This record gives sequence, structure tokens and C-alpha cells, in this order.
Amino acid sequence: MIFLKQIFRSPVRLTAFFLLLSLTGAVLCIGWNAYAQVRHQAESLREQYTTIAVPDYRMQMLMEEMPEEEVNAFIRGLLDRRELIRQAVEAAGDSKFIRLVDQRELFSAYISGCKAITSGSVDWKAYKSTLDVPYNLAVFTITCGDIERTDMDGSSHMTSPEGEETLTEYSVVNYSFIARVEECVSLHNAYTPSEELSVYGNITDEGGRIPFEEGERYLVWGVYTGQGIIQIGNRWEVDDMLPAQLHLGHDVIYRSFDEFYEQNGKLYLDRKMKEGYPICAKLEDEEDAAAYLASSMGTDWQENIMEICNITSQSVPIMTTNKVESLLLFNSYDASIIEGRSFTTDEYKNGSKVCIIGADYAGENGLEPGDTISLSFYNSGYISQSSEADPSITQYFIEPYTNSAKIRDPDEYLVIGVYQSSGFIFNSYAFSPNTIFVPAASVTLPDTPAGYMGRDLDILTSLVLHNGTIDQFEAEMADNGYGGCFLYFDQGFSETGGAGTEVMEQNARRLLVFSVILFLAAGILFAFLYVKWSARSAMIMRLNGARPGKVLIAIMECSLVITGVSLIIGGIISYSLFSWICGLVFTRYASLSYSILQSFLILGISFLFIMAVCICFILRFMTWNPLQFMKKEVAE
Amino acid sequence: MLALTFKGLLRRKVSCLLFTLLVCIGAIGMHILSGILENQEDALEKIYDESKILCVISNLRGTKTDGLQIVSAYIDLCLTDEKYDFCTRIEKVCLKRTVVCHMEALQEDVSLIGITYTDGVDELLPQNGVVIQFLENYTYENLLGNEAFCIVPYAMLPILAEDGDGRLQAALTMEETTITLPVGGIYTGGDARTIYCPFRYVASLLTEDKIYTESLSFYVKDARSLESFREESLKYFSEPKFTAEDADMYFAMIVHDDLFQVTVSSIKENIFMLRLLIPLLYIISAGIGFLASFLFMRGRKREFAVMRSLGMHRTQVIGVIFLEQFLLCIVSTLLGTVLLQTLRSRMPDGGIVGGCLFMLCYLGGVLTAIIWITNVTVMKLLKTED
Repeated sequence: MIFLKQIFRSPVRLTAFFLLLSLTGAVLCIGWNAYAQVRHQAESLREQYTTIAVPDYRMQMLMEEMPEEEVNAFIRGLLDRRELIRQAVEAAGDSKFIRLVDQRELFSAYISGCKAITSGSVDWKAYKSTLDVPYNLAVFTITCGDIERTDMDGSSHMTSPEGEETLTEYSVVNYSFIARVEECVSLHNAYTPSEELSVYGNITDEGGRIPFEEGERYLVWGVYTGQGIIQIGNRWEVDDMLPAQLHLGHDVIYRSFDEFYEQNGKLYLDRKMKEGYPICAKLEDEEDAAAYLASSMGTDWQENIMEICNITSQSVPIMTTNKVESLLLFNSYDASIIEGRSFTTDEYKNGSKVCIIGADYAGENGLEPGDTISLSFYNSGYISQSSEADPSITQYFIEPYTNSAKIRDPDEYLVIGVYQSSGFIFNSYAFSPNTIFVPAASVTLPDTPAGYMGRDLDILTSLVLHNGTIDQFEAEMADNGYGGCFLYFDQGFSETGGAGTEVMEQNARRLLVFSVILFLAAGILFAFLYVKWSARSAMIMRLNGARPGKVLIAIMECSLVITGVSLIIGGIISYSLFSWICGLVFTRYASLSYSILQSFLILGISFLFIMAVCICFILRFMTWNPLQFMKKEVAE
Repeated sequence: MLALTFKGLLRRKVSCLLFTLLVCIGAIGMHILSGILENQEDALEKIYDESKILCVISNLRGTKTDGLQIVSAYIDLCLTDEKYDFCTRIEKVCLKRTVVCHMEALQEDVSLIGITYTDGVDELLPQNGVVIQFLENYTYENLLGNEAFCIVPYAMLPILAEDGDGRLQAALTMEETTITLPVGGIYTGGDARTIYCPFRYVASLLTEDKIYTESLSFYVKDARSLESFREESLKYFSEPKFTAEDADMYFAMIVHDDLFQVTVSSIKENIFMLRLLIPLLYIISAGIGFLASFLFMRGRKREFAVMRSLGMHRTQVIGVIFLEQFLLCIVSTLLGTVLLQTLRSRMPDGGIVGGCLFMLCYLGGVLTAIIWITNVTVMKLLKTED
């Protein structure tokens, strides 16, 4: 306590020591907290941007190098490129520049009472029959017209186990007729039922016969194609040249042909009506669809076909995601949240039962953010269709519901956002405006149907890069032989966010360096001055017979108190100042104010540093001879 | 006096070295601190300069951005600066107008789409597999004019006729009018039944009442005036509202500025924080410089007493000590500056000022301490030491 008493006798010096250490301690804490705060702020800002890599299927050399007649070469080239890109996507998954591979899942959900929309729902002019899958199922009561049978020739190569190749030539029975529509039993409300239908089919009855007779009345179901919309100059019209069409049955039931049979010396490939899913039912005179469906004869129709139509029309595609902004359309602003909000990190992490729905779907069903919807998940698979003009462009469509798909019990999902998108368009990254997005962790995947094709669709995979690493990633891919396989989209991070956050962090680092340097200098200065001040008293103690250890402890006691108290005061000063500044500045990051724990740690380390420096200086002068020191002092 | 000063300096080598180091570090610290704010402000300016804020016109509900019928009044608003001020605040106006024409060579109807920019059309974007190649004498800029030329799908090339100069051209019939468009570009991928041409060319084929654009998007020219731009745009376009009723001829404007706003507000907050923090750090650093020199001088009380007792006048003592510390400071500040200059490519503008500020504070501390100490009589000074 000798030195403590002594220093208290010199209040100016003591105050100066206290001020020196508490101010530098305060600067150090402010520097650290500013650094941590800005880093967090920059990180939050970076999180807002999403950089994605998208497969680039373009074949740029096509025009210069490939003559038109080399169609095979073109297709081969296209397939090679697809394979290369598939490998590139696989290899990219291991890259250190990849932040997330958002592997999305696609299945269906039945929402009782809701109605899916079709391409013509909002604007009749926008009707495109190919984009209405699977909501184009229809059930009609018709009167059959003149039936036209066409035998379509086909051939197939069969290879025996011995490797012998045989060519089988066969015919497929196709038929068509014009039907008069008596009643529209089931049809999406966006379609206007026409009075006449062109009915097409290739499904025969048990005996291989066409199951229709001219003039008879039938209940039929199949895929409906409305009359086309044509633009004539500046106006749009329904194309009256061709009537609406009905293609009997659906691929989801009648996917494959059944068997070959011979008739009149000719080989036929047959597709027979399936039990439980007849494509037609003959109606008695005066019998209407309701009466037939209510009868015992109509059980199959009621339980299977009507069920397919009803559930499908009330079903929507569900896409799981871990980052909705990683979908190209959202990333490039072709789709955006117009009402409500997107998912939060916590919702992704916790698998919260929240969803984002399409604006037109929401409008059609009177939904808005804050509403809840009951989603009964099931998976009947999906089909992907390629563009006729460009086979590299494929789009998915969910398959209609079938009885083999198990519908789960409904889960309540809260609608948190409504998105607008480009609507019904055909491209590899487009999704149906009926699509509902949910956090991946919020759902246990429903069972996949037999022969499920997996996830080989561009829309189902997104490579999310760490922001600002496009060049490095591309270089890494090029090194692995996959250069030029991707297109990159970063929402303007390279122009704006990147530069901004970089400078913010750079400045925060400079602040930290400044405060650390200042603290180190002041700490060393304090230790030097304090030890220098205490040297004479210490030597006197030594001359009076005190052991070096005891002297050391005595000096350290005092420095410990001064340093400890000063740093605590410094901590309090920094807390007050920094909280005041944060309160003035930050509105959105208010939660990121002063970190007491981190400051406490920093001050602890600083305390140890000053103690260590003090010990170094004390040990240095403890090696001196007390007598010689005093002599020198006197001489001076 | 100078000789005395040098002798004094040489006698306390360790102390001098330590204090040179302290001032040097202080000066470096001030240098480091001084460029921070300018850096951050430069970054903000860069963001304003380079940000591309996309505005897309939609129906009133904000659900539809294509297939609209945005009449020529809106087109004029965005393109004609004689009548409206609005167009001076936007750039890269993307327009699109489709007309159906009959192509005799193909024996089919094809879509002729007038555009101003290829990247304003979804169907022509690279991610949709499309590659556009312009032929000689044609560039993207030609789409901005009303020149008759077209960009045709690669698959269409074999059926196109050649003109007298051997250039390919597409002959189309639109409402009984036959038009011939020289081929200025070719695209692969995408729809093989669509021909693109300049928007203004398509407009020139139509009567005034039939001119409209199906989609309209543009970028804000100056991101700094985004707020005033928004205010002005409200004169012409509504804010999209999901629950609104759509009405013909009325449109909403979706401004994709979320990320821009978040980025700018973060940086502005940061600048604001630095504006408060940096002066505070300057003051604290100056205070530390002051305290350091003050403490250092206090340790030399006895020395001053001896100097005074040997007959030196108080001002002489102050002069010698101040000169000694001044020399130390100059050397240290220069050292710090040179050191920092070699380590960094560019010295911030306020760097020297910051360094000098620390030096001044340090010298202020020195002066205060000497005046304070020498303000008492020699005997009292000596007595205190005993």
C-alpha cells in the first residue's frame, strides 16, 4: 500500500494517470465496438444481395461454324453442352465460393376451396393452351359425330439379348370426331365452354375397338384445349377456324401403350381403356351426367375421374426454397414481392409455416398477407416440356392428382407475401403464377410417385455465390475445364453493395487499428512513467532491506489499482459515448449497440497487457544496484 | 540555448526515444483517422453514380408488367423532352410493341416486335438461351432509331430473299401493306417465329391511335434525386397497390430500389456515425497527447528547479524545454508521415493536418506542464523534490 499512499499524495499525477488510461481504454472499446458494429452492418448489407450462377446453354459458335443441314451435329452439340453444364453444376457444389446450393423440391398441395389460375384467367388474350397444364382437364357430355379413323404407322427397333436387332413396324389406331357439347360437367372457369369439340383419341376398348358410335351420347374426359387467340393487326380475336379440342384421357393414366395385336394381317399397338379410368361412358337417352354419376355405373367416374379433376383444379405447385432470391426471376426483378414480405433467415432456419403466393392466385382466391391457407401436400410428379424452338429450354408442370398420390393432412400456412411474376411464360427459370413458395425446412416431403424423374430442372437448383466472388469462381471453374458454363447475376452488388461494404469495413478496421495503436502507446507510456516515478521509492525500500519480490508486489499493487479503476472508468465512458452515438445514428440496427461482454474482454486483455509491460519495466530496474542508483540520483 | 537543448536530449536517450515513438504513433494514428470520412463519402458517391435503379410500369395492382397497352402519351412522356421534364430524369427506356404480320416466304404469320433495347425483352435475354449477333453496319443503337431493319431467328435465314446487293431481307405483310426489312441481326435460341425491329419503326407503320407499348421500363438517371423523381412520377403513375382496381389507361410504377435504399441508408448511417465519432476520437487523442507530455514534464521537476537555481530565467527554462520537445515532435511527426507514406499508396488529404494536430496537442501539454511547474519559486520547487 506504500505506493498507493504515495501516489494519492500526488493528486495531479494520479488524475493524469487515470485520465490517460481511461481515455485510451475508452478509445479502444469504442474502436472495437465500432469495428464489430460496422462489420455486422456490412454483413447484414451483404446478406441483402444474392449472387447466383445460372447455366449458360447458349452455343455461341453455332452461327459461324455449323451449316444448317447438320442438324444432328447441332443436337449432339446441344446434348454435349447440357452434359458439360450438368458436370459443371456438380463440380460447383464443392467450390469454396459457393455459399449455398439451393436444391428446391417441387410437389403439389391441395387447397380446399381455392381455385388455381390459368393463362387466360386474368387476361383472355394471354391464353396459351400449353401453359395451362394440369388445369386443362375437362369432363363433358357430348353427342358423337362422324368418327374418322386413322392408322398411324410407326416402327421400333428391338434388340434381343444376343444383340440381334429387329425392326418392328406397326400401326396405332387414332380416331377423331366432331362432337356437340350437351353439358360441361367440369372445366376450369377461365374457359368458355364451346358448343362444339374436336375430340381426339387413341384409346380403345377391351376388344381393340373405338369406344364411340356416331349419334350416341357420352360422358367423356380428357385434356381440353380452348380455341386459340389470334392477333389481327391491332386487335385480338378468338380463332373460330378451329373448334376447341378434347384429347381423351390423360398421360398420367394412359402413359404407355399396352400390347401388340394382329388384325387383318396387320400389327397394331394398342392402348386399352383402364379399369377405373374409362375415357367415356355411354349415356342412356334423357340421362344426364349428374344422374349417371349418381348411379352405380358412375362410381368409377365419381371416385376417380371427377376426383382427379376436382382435386387438380384446387391444387397448386409447391416449391421449397432456402432462399427465394436465388430463383433467377426474383434475382433479376422479373418477379418481386409486391405485398407483404419475403422469408426471414429465422423462418428458413426454423422451418416456419409461412408462404409466399402469386398475386393473381391471391386475387382470384381473395387472399392477402396475414391470411392462412391449409395446404395438403402430395406428390404426383411433374413433367418437363422442351421448347420446340430451343430444346435447351425446358419448363416444368405438375402432373394432375391421381389416387396413387397420398394427400397429407392439411397444414396451416400463414401468407406473408404476395409476388408478381412474368405470368405464364415458357422458359427454364419460369414458374407458374400458381406456385406457392415455402421454406424448405417447413415441410416433410411427400412420397414421390413411381418413376419420379428427380430434380433435373434448372428451376430447381440455384448456385448461390458469396457476394463479390464471381471472378474467382469463374476462374476456378475454368481451371476445372468448366469455363463459360455460367451466367452471373448479383443484383448490382459489384456496382454498389460491394464497394460500399468494402469501404465500411476498411474504415472500421482503420478505426480499430488507430485505437489499438493509441492504447498500446499510452499503455507503454503509463508503465514507463509509473515505474520511473516509483523507482526511487522502490530503491529506498530495497536499501531498507525489502526483498525484490516484496518491492515488486508493492509497485504492482498500486499499478493494478490505477489500471483497473481507469479501465473500468474507460469502459463506462465508452459505453455512454457509443450508446449515445448509436442512438443518434442507427434506426434499423438499433439492436447492435454496445457489446458489454466484448468490451469487458477487451478491457481485460488491455489490463493484462499493461500489467505485463509494468512487470517488464520493474524487472528491468530491479536488476539495478540500489546503492548505485541512489548515488546516481544524488549526483544528478 | 540550442546546445543546451541537444545536450538535454542526448542525456535522456531512452526517454527521448520513447517519446519520439509516442508522437510518431500519435501522428500515424491521426493520419489513419483523417481519411476515413472522405473514403466513406467517396464510396457513397460511387454508389450514386453506378446504381442502376430499374422502374417498371405495371397495371395498378402491380401484378402485370407485360401485355399492357400503354398509350403513346406515356411513350411521349418518357421519350420527348420538349413537352415533359420527366424524360430528362430517366434513361434506357425499354419499349415493346408486337404486331402480327404474314410472312409469305414462311407461309405463316409471324410476330414483328418493335423494341428499343434487347435486354428489355425477356425472350431475348441470354439466360433464356438467346445469342444475338448484329451484322455489319448494325449495332444495338440502331434499335433506338426508326430505321427499317430487323433481327431474325437463325432458323429463318434459308427462306429469306436477297436484295440487289446480296443482303438478306425479310418481306412481311401487315394489314395489306407489304414491308421489306433488311436483316441487321440474327439470333439463335428463343422463338423461331418472331422478328425484332426498332420500336419507332413499328410505330411508324401504325396510325397514331394504335401506337402503344406492351411493356415500359427505364432506369433512373440520377440516383441522388430518387426521392424527387418518385414524387414527380406520382403525377403520371400510381404506386402499385395489390388491392386496387385495375383501370384502362392508368398505370403504376414499380421501383426496384430496395437494395439501393438499404445500401445507401447503411452507408449514410455509417457516415453519420463517423462524423460523430471521429471528432470525438480526435479530442480524446489530443487529450492523450496532452496528458502524456504533461506527465513526462512533471517527472522533470527537479531538473527545472536546478536550472532555475543556477540562475536561468523562467522564460529561458520554458524556451529550452519547449525547443527540445518541439524538435522531438517535428522529427516524430515527419517520421510518422514518411512511414505511412511508404506503407500506403495515397495519403489522405487531411492526413498532415491530423498529424500536426496531435503534435500541437502534445506541445500544448508540454507548455502547460512547464508553465505550471515553473510557476512556483525555486525554493518551493526544490523543497517539493526533497
